[in-house]
Amino acid sequence: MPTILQYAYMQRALLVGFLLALLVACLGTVMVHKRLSLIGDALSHSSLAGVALGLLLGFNPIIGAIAACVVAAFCIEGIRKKLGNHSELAVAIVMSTGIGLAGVMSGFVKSAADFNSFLFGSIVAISEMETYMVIVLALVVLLAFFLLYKELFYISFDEQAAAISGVPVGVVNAIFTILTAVTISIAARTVGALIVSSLMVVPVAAAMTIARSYKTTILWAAVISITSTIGGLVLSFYCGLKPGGTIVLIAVAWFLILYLLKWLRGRLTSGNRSADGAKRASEESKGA
Amino acid sequence: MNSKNMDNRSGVGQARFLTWILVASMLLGTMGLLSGCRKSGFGKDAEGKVKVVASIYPMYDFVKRIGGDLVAVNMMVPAGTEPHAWEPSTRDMMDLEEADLVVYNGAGMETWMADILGTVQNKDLVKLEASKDVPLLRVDHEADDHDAGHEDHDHGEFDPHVWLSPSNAKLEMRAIADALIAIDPDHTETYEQNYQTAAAECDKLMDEYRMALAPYEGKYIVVAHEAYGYLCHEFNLNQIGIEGVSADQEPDAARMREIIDMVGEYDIHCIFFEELVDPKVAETIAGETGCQTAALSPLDGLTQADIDNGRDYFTVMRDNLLALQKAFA
Amino acid sequence: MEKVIEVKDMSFGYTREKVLEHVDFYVEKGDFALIIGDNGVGKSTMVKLLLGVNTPTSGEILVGGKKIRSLKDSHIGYLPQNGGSRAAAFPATCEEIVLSSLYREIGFGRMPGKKHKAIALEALKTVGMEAKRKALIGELSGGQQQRVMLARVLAGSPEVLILDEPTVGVDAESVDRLLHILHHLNIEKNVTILMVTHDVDKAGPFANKVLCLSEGACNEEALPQAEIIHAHAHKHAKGEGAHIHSANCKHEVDHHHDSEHCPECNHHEHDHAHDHEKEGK
Repeated sequence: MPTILQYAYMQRALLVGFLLALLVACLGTVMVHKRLSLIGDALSHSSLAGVALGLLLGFNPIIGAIAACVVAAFCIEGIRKKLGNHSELAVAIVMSTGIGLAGVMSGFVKSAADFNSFLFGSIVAISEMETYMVIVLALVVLLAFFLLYKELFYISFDEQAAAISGVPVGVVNAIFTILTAVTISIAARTVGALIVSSLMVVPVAAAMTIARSYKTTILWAAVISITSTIGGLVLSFYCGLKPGGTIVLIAVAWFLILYLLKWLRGRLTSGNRSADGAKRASEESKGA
Repeated sequence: MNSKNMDNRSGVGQARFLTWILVASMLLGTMGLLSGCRKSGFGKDAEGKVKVVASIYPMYDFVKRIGGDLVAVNMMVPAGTEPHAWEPSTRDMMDLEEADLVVYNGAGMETWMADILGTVQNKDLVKLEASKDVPLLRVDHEADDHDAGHEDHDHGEFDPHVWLSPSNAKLEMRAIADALIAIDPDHTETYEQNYQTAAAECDKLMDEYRMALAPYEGKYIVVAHEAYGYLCHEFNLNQIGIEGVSADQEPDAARMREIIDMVGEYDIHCIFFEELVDPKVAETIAGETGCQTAALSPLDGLTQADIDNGRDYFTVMRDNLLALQKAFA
Repeated sequence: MEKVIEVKDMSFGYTREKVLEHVDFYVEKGDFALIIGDNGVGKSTMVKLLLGVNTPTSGEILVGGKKIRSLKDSHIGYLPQNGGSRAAAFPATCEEIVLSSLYREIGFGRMPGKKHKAIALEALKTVGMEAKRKALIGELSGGQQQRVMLARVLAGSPEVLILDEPTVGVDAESVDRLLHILHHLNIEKNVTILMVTHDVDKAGPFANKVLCLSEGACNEEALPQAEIIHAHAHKHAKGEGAHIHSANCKHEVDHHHDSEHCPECNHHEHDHAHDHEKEGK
């Protein structure tokens, strides 16, 4: 057995990392196309407010964090609909509110302790309970994602048309909003906010440079997300790099390499482009 | 077209009116909130006393000990707050404008202090860096190898947690006594007396530590962050910090493994965590190695409950000693 | 003839102020109808009303003889304005996009089967895009994207097709192609078409019915075979809001064979316009 697997904390890190990378990539693909790329950031910071409230009113701060995440996610959904073209502002507004509330409320909390350390976990320090929690979460989210794949595709492509075609947009959006909020709050607590908010966006951006369909976009995003996570953990284990940062940078490297490849391919085929254009034109006229 | 415009205009007028009402009510609300807030400064109790602002809990405790009833002390970093994650509020600034003396540990502990003192206009404010006479320990870069990351510059090159050795605490108390005497020479005798009492207590604590830890010389302790340099230096122990000198760093997988391996190698039975930092990492390592976990306070902040329960520098130091003895036994 | 869409003395305003007032018209099965008018006269509002997105303030809209609450209950296909450009950044193939509209046929929580793929391919063939079915939508030209979006609507085999400004934002050649596709659908498959446009010159010759929402926008020369229904907005003094008077031509024109004007109809319309002026005074 390789050394990396001889330690229980690394086994947990690899398992939980794999599952969350998969989940977050799936959710991220939908979020990016709903123009809510930064929702990971917004929700994980909004959950700070929930933690503060939990400490203030004396209930479990983790439950507070999940509740705050769900509330914030619904606020984003609500504001997004009102703002139309500026829907991405909804994320910024909710994030600001969350951080602001957390900041003010932390002033009232007597045993504030180190807020961040309780809120944001570390991928190399995952408890057994959290491992089980993530496994259950992964099963639920993946099942829902698989069942609602078609609906989510349609809604993120064209919400209005989806509604017209009979997709229960409200229900699907609500289910998805709750799943996203719960995933983000649990994932932020388990592996840290940095990993969650980055893996929501970067692998999707990388996948979009090469994917040839929506399905392959999701598959590539998942592959990139998972390889970044596992790669980051292995590097962290053998080279002593910080796991969170390493994972994120590997994902960014994926993006840069794939983007460069696409650019090079574009350069190479640009010579044929005029021929292509002529072909396209002739095809069109034939069709007519 | 006309009718539309007119209608629009009245609509705009209404909206504007509503906006003003909203703004006005928000202003009134804010004023109401402000009047409900605690007034800054030292209040009436402080009249005729030496007004002191102390940065963190150990400074607060020392000033109270030396000053007794002759001083009014406000603590900047509130009870239960980890000082690394703290930021000053406007109230702290107002306290400083009113104060006669500000006491801070220095040696890189209060990274925000220089900025604050730069903006204070109070010309009579005496600024005391309590650790000025303490022989500082450099951060051991070998032990801290993995954490030489971005957070290091915060603490500079010295370990700031000087008070964790009672002999250093005594030196800090001396500096505080001198500062108080300079400000309030009429009560020199009281300050001197209070200092002697506290210093004797420090000496006693030193002896207790020496006695209790003598059998364990050269042993290793695993701690959440490397705050115990002075303690280890004084009593010939070695600390293995899960994280660096500062408390808010994420461990990496290789460091975790190294510590897990060292736990076996050095026959360690207990992983120490801090009450103000999530014990997750300590618990993970303990779970991996079958160790116990226990709290070891770096004393950089006590919770309000602790203070209400009458805990102070000496009681916490004695609890720490018990925890250490238990870990080695 | 069966009236597929019927608007009866319908008024609508977003606020107290009316955008549309007393609109009366109907579309029959097999019609190729246009809604024309200058910017801001309420063309898009009219579409939203027809789609059931907005509800009339007074009067009623009947689709297939029933009051509509939403498009879910109707057989209307809708191609929104700039339908193509919205899709450009979305990483999906043409086939995936067309399949998505077969939602009702596939069912909640299921994956599309061979049958559905065949329908999608058929729709892509109708718009001449079957060769590009595996291509990413973002890699197509504006006109091609629009045709894919049309195929998406057609996959649901609608009886009525509503298009909002399909000639905006695409090149002239694509407009011609689109109009030919629509004409073909109208004649071969008897699809009723209702198109909002300001491009009377191009679309006019295909139409047999026109709802004209503003004066001057109706270039009647470009409408050789259409029955014209005027619904001009006359703005009155403060407080009363805008009025739209409309009149309906009752004369049937068989547009597929008869390319002549309907002189009686035009005459009729002129009379109406006069009536209104009198009424106004």
